[in-house]
Amino acid sequence: MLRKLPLMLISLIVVLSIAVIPVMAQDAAPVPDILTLPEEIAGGRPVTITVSDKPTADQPAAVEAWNATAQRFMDLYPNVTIEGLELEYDPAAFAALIASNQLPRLFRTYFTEPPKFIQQGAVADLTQFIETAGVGDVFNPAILDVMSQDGAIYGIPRDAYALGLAYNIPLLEAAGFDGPPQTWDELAEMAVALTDRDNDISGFAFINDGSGATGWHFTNIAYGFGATPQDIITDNGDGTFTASFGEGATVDALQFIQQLRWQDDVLPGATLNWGSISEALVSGRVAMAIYAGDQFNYDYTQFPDADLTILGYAAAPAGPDGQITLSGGNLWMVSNSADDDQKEAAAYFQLWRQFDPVELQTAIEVTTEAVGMPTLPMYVGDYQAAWAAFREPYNKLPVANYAPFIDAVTSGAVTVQAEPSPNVQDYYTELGVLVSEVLSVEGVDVPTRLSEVAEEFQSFVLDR
Amino acid sequence: MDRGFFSNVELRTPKGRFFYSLAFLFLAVIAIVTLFPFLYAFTSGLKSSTEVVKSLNLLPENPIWENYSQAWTRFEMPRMFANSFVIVTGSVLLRVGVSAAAAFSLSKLKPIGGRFISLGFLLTLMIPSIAYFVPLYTTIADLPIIHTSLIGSYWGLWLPYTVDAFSIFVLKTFFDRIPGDLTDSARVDGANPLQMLTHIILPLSRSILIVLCVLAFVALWRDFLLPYLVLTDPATQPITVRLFYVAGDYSLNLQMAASFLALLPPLLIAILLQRYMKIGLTLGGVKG
Amino acid sequence: MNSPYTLETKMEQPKKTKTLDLARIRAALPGQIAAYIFLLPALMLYAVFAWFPIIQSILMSLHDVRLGGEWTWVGLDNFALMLRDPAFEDAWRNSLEFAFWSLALGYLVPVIIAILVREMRQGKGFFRVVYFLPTVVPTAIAVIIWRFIYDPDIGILNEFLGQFGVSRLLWLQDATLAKPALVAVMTWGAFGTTALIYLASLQDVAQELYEAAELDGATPLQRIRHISLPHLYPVMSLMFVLQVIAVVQVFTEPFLLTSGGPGRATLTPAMHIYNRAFIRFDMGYASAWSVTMIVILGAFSIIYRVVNYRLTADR
Repeated sequence: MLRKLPLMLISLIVVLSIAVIPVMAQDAAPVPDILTLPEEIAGGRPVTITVSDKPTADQPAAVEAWNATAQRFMDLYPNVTIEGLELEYDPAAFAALIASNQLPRLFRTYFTEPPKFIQQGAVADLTQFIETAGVGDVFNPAILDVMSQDGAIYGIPRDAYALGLAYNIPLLEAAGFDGPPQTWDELAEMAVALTDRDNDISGFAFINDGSGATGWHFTNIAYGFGATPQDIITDNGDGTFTASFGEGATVDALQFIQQLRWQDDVLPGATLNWGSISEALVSGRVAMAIYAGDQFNYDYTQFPDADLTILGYAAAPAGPDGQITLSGGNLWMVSNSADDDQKEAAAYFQLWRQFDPVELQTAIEVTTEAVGMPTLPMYVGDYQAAWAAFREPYNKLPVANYAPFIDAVTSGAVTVQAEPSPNVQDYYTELGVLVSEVLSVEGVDVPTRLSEVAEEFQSFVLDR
Repeated sequence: MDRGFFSNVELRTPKGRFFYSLAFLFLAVIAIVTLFPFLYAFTSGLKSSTEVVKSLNLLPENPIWENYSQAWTRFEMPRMFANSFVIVTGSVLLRVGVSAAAAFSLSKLKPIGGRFISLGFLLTLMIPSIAYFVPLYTTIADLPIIHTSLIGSYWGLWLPYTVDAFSIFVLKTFFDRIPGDLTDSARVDGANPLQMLTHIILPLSRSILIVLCVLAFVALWRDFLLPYLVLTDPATQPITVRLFYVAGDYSLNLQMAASFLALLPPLLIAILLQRYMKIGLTLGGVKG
Repeated sequence: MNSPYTLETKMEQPKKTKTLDLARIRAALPGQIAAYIFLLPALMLYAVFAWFPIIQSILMSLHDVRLGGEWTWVGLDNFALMLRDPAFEDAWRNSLEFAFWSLALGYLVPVIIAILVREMRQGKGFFRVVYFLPTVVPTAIAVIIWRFIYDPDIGILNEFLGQFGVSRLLWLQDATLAKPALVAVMTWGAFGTTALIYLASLQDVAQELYEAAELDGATPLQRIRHISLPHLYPVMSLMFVLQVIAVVQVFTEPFLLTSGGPGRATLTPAMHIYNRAFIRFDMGYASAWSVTMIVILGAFSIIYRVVNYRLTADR
């Protein structure tokens, strides 16, 4: 018996391990390590980089984690020093920083910004680092497109979201609907049924404050009516462009909006911007709204006492081409005034933070963000599946409510369409102004006005 | 006996009383209208976040007093208040001091080319500050000729904040009202310009100086963009910058509570100093 | 503006001779040096932190500016482009309308308040502080409040008016209403400080003047007209110019409350400058707008001085 003890012990250990490992795997489900880090960075020379978005002192756990992360990287590459700055992106501030050469070497910004940074020559080409690290094929090409120009990649995507339709589940059920609308006509019908002026409930809303965000939301609706980027701004192939949105699906979409406002009266009277549309949804003043997936994070942090289980999320209703959406998100970029050593250090630091399995584990444990937001897949293939599975146990939001959206995205029913280009932000601004006009003045002649705006856009922006 | 255009005797007549009550009512109504947002700011901090955006009710349903204590400790308010105080008080003193000296010169000492210089000051009012914000920042980051940077230092705020032509023009207008007799007799008595300034002009202008100090204090207390860029070390940042960083991560009602606490110091300064805004020109001035 | 009640005696200005009298110059020199010594701090600070950046800005308007440092000379191209900008007409027309509304709604309010507060025997201190509160309220809170007040569906303004049978008005969403609505917000934010300045000026009026006028049999209204208002005139004049200049440059209220909408009804030049400079990173073009603003406001100041001089020439 005594001689059999070691054997029994070993068997016990083996059995226990076999039993335990799957359980552990279920908790951790680690992400595969696909990163190839270089042996040394900057040839071993001392290099210092500044990094933005360091957590603030009122969140000690996050600060500690950030410092630990930086330290781990510095341990990997002893010649690299990382300085964190609490600076966050702001257009005016960053313009001043670029002009005075004070831009953090590694900084975060929005998907809307890369074109102007690239055009100003303010950001560095990161293609070589991404390729060397072996992650070039893992990214969702539609998303990488946003930060690329002429085949060169200028940024590392951090998160991406789509524009979908958020809706108030209890309100829909009370009106007798069992799900979100599948087509735009259905949306109009449902909105009429859901609007209840006496209780201050509007059936449908989108950002309508007249800014570029309005143009952005509206363009998503236009896509839903069948418009394509070429329909809006046509590339003539010879270096010139034509503003073609004066006719076609864009006109239909704008007339649809006009009808919603003046005939069906389902839109709220107030103008809504990015923040107030969240407020309206959360407080039940709006039944359905065009909504960016990452706005749930805003709801989660700003309204901790709100019941977020009342909100569902689906892809935008289908048009003749199916369900289309625009994307938005955040990305990391490297300042072009950094020297080559710094660029290398900055790029690898971010890639390592983003792909190293240990880093991903610690990050998700300390984050205050609302894990589980309905976002767009940043990666493709097996890696994306593994990544999503890894994050699942940490969900803080009622993910089941977002099933309509998630299913549509994973099944490929939703197409992520690129934005019209070039000068898309100018386009959004002009459209935003026009949409605001259509919503505030009754009886606007939509086709004529759109043609006028298209002509103005042509002469003032495209022909410059 | 303090009186306005009505004498005290007149105010006791029925007509006078009627007018007085009417005036008082009018002022009171306006006061309520201006008080309302202030109270709303206070009670927002007590509401739940969804309540804040639901309606304009003044009273919260269940006041959450912890919001205020939480805002106070979490956002490290005492230290940030101290920073704001240092920044703003230094700037106000410099601004009013420099403006008073310039206004005094333009008003009483009449330098050659004074008109031209006035135009130069006026120019700074005719262009919105964001229009030259970027060159201003690059200048602070790299001062001309001496090539030093003021980034990270409070001087990077104190010095640019002295630029406020509004103060110069207001003070000049007030200094112009001081009768020439006073300054002339002082000159005859052998006073030099500095004595003229400190012994005659400034004491007589006390009320407007205090007013300008308070106005500058409030305006600078709320300034955001320049401190945001100049002070990168969190330990030195003023309250407006700090709230921008941290508040976005928290719930709306906590942000409201923090914002309300942030507005208290300028308010206190205004309350404390308002009684000094009374003394006028004729205190021991020239009669007849 | 003729007033028999004034403390000042007008001194005769000695005639200025144009002859170069060395003795006179030498005599005036110490005075001039003193004058410039007092001006020196202001001159140095303005030179570094105001005039230098402003001149750079003006130069930028003649270039295509890359933030990284490359400036390419384009002459007047930015200005030509500006004239073709669909927003140009709207922005400047809005400025004019904003100025009009601002003066109509907000110019006299501080004067009236200052005069009335001056009269109060009790509560002066309270009123001084209370009117000051709007300047102290943080912008973020003010925006939420005013959004609520103006909300067409649940706003208290519409609720209040609804009691009198007025139908739901779209304050910030209607092109004609949006401007006065915004001006109300701007006035709310600024009347307190202006009133304080007027109050400080009124406190300088010698009480004997009022007594004398009362003895002469002047009615209270006449006393205001002949004593208070003339005394306030220089300050009111200054405030007029400063108010117009400030309103033309308004940015915060339209930016936060209406984003320039509906359509372009509340777009201001300052907003457009912000947009082009920081959202588009097109600093050269934005600077062209800034230069235009300087020219327009400069012209206004000059015209005002001439008109003011003519009006008061026979005092």
